[in-house]
Amino acid sequence: MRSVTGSLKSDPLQHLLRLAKEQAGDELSAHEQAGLERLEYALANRRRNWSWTWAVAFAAVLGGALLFLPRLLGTRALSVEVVSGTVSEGGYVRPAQGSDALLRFSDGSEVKLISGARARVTELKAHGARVLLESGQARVHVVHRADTKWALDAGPYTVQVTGTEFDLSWASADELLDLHLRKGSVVVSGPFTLGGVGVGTGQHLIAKQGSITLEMDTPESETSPTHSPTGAADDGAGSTDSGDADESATAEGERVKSPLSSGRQAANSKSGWSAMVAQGQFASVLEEAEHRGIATTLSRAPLDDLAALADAARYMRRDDWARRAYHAERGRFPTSRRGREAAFFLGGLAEGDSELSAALDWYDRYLNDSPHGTYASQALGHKMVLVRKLQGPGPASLIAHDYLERFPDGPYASAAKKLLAP
Amino acid sequence: MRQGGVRRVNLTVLSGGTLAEQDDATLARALMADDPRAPRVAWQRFAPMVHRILKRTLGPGADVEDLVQEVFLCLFDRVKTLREPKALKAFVIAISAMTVRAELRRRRTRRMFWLDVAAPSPSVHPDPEGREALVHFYQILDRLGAQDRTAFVLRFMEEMELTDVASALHTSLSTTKRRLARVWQRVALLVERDPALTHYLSSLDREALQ
Repeated sequence: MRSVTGSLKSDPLQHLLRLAKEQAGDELSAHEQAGLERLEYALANRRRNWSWTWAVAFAAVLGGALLFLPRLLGTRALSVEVVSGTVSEGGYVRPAQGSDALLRFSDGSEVKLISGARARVTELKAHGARVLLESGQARVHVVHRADTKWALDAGPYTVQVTGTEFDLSWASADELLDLHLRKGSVVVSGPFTLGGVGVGTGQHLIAKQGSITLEMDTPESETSPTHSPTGAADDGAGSTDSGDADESATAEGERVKSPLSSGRQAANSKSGWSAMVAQGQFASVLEEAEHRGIATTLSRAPLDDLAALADAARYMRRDDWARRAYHAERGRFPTSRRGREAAFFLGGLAEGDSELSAALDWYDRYLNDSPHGTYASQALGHKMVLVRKLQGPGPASLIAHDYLERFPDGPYASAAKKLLAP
Repeated sequence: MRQGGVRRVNLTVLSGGTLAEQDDATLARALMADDPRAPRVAWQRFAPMVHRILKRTLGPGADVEDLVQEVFLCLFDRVKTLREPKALKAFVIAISAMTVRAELRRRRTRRMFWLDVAAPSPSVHPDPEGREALVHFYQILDRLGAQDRTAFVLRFMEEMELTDVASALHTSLSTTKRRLARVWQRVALLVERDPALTHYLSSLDREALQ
């Protein structure tokens, strides 16, 4: 179709759009209409196949049960009782008000939920159990036997246990995992652990948004820090990686930085504040910023200092300062990686304040600006969760499709699969 | 649902008229209730739109039949999770957008690994120069990311409201506005720099002035 009115110089794109619209109109051709028959045939086949599938599945289950009945009778799954706590319909366990709840398992293992914590027993097997720590702190004691196999999930992390005592806490708003090993050893897997990080007696592991830190708590620990790429639990005397191995701890309380640290606080050794944050001196950073003047700091500090201040404020739960610092990063350094990443952290802060729509907007901005950024899988995962809350499982399932395509092994992959499950 | 060996079919009670005459919310409820009439009505109501969105996004002559089937099968699978039945049309658009984005990513992967991507069949546009211009235009759209391209088509070809585009892409309104502004500018610049399109558009200008 040729334009016969006016010059196209002002709207050449509009003309092309008209051409594009014309090539796909509203009427369906006969061939396209025949798609309905094909669809109805597919639906009818699907119903037939489901009937067969259920029949075959039932037969398989029945056959399997008959075959393994002697073994099943001999090796029953663990049982659990809850002391001083309530169990909701979904299986969530919560301590009674003002007290700790105790999950007591039939193999002698115990998981104590400190007041305010929330957890769920997701699996009970003959040789172990799986517990999801939704939020808060738990003290875990797993009895070691030859075939003990326990796991604790906290956010995207999994702690694999063969016989230990440890304290575990998870704060979803900050995505902060805190593990203190009192006895034995575990392997922690999850984001940035490259298959698993071994944690031994006396060690303290902190995982926060892109960084893993191991700290020695005791002067003479029984083990050195290990990084176990195979994910196999070890007795604490396992091998260390060559070349890129963790720095060994040689003195009491010396912080051991995992080579897996890729987050903001490990990135830069130039800034004093960055180094202070890396050492956990969050309060000191805030004091210095206050001393300098927050407004002055936000308007003049270099990017590294702004990033460190934002992180320190976030860890200290000074969300107001954190927000201001992230906004300053975005405003003053919009095209920098940190400036773009600030959108992700602002999303986290909004989510923590239950400002879900605002959080969704921030995650969208981050995904828009950094589709392949460090936090892309987390941002898309958070987005999926928020869309489910705000719009329902239907729209969220479409994001789940996207998520599994882009991040099939990502931290939210199992959540995405659950959304897509029939 | 089976009761006593007899398969019970759920039929939606209609206040008047046939199912095809009912609004989207009623149709959605009929789909959720496994009303056997509902899939056909859903096809008749939404198939033209789905075909249009897929063809306009994927380009001239794209074979969209399999993708259309995917969209409707996904709709029938997921409609029971729709919280607001009146949002049925928006839901169909969102599924179409998701399907076309997945197809664009598949195409990109095949191109990256030099796997054959079937050359598009010529468009049905009667004007041969217009057909050629469309090919160049869609080559420009090939340079956009899947999300950007889908947003561009939904807003500027389908002429959907911004809120509907945002809903289809599961992004906020503000993000959608920013994305569309950026994408428009980029496409306009690429069109300006495309010699074939410049020549075509200039020739139209000259004709208009004669």
